[in-house]
Amino acid sequence: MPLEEKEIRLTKSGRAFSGFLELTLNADQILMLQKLGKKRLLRPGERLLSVGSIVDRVYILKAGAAEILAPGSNGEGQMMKAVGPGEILGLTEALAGTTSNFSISATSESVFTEIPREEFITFLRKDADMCFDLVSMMATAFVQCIHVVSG
Amino acid sequence: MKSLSTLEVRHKCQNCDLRADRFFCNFSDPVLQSFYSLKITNVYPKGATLFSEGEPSSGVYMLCQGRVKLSTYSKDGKALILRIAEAGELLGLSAAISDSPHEATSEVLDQCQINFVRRLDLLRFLQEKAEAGLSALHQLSRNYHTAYTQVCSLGLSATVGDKLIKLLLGWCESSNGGNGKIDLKLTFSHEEIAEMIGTSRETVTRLLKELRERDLITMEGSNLCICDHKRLEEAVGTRVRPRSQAVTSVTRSQ
Repeated sequence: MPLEEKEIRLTKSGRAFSGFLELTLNADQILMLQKLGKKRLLRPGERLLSVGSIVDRVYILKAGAAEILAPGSNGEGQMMKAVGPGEILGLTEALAGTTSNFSISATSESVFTEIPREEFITFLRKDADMCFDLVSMMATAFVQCIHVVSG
Repeated sequence: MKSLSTLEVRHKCQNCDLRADRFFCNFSDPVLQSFYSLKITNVYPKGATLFSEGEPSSGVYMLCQGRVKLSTYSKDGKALILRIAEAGELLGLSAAISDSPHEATSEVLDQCQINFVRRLDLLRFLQEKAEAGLSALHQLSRNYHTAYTQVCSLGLSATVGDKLIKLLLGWCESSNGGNGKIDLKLTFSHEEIAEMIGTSRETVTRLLKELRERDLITMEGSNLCICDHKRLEEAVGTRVRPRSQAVTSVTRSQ
């Protein structure tokens, strides 16, 4: 199955859908942001976020791997995407003030940097370059998301 | 000559009394000054199209007053309303930043005041002013979550009846109701509601009638009252069936 179809998929029954926005930071950006937060280690299978949980932190996957799960028709999580180092997680939820649409679990020994929402926003307010990079990334991912959905 | 505009147009951003917390342009004075120097103010009448799906982006449209309908069209020309943009939103933002064609068509629902900013001016503004970049991030995040909710509602609802109930419940989120009763002012036609949930006008009319018959809603003109929010929530997943038929079936089973 082509990657795009796998990322956002409305099956014939309309049950499987993932609108996960992939936002991947480069090494310099990770280095800059890791100073703001603290390290969090997760073992395989440990959960970072659950569907419906309040997102008051932004997470950066520094090392390891995680899977993004969306609720399926039977109430169990369906694997929608695997993400690797550099992925920034919980950003849109933290900024929009919404709860998490996905569950995120580590699939290997993983290291995350967790940054409280307010500290992240305070940092962005002073760093126009980082802000613009994130805006560009998010806009591009959003447009791709819409194109896949609208076919 | 008769004037088209009945709006009181705010030209000066600095002393604009429309600006609220969630407005894209809710900047500090120096940033607001920069934004003011970039924008071109226009008033658009009801029915005007700001941009069309597939068109290249020339800039963004700051919606100061009024409402704008954002729709997408299927290959066979069927319209689907993605959302209704309210005052404070920046329209065409993702297309302008990613330099891609507009993903939706925007049509003015009520007379609007729009501040247009050219694409290259916007990019420079966002690159130079972190505050503006942050505001754009907030806006994009909200747009993404609205779109996500909409697609989930359309894709994960088993029936058109459920889609309609979820749409009504979504409208309740911004309303305050006591004792589970919520009054809404319906500003959309049945045709527009149909385009929001991907069905026909006739189906919407029939389903609203059925919801009335089940005492889940009442309607008087453009006033729609949700009798009990919790009961309406519980109606998702249950077959929409008029009360009279339900009673008949109970009688038969006895």
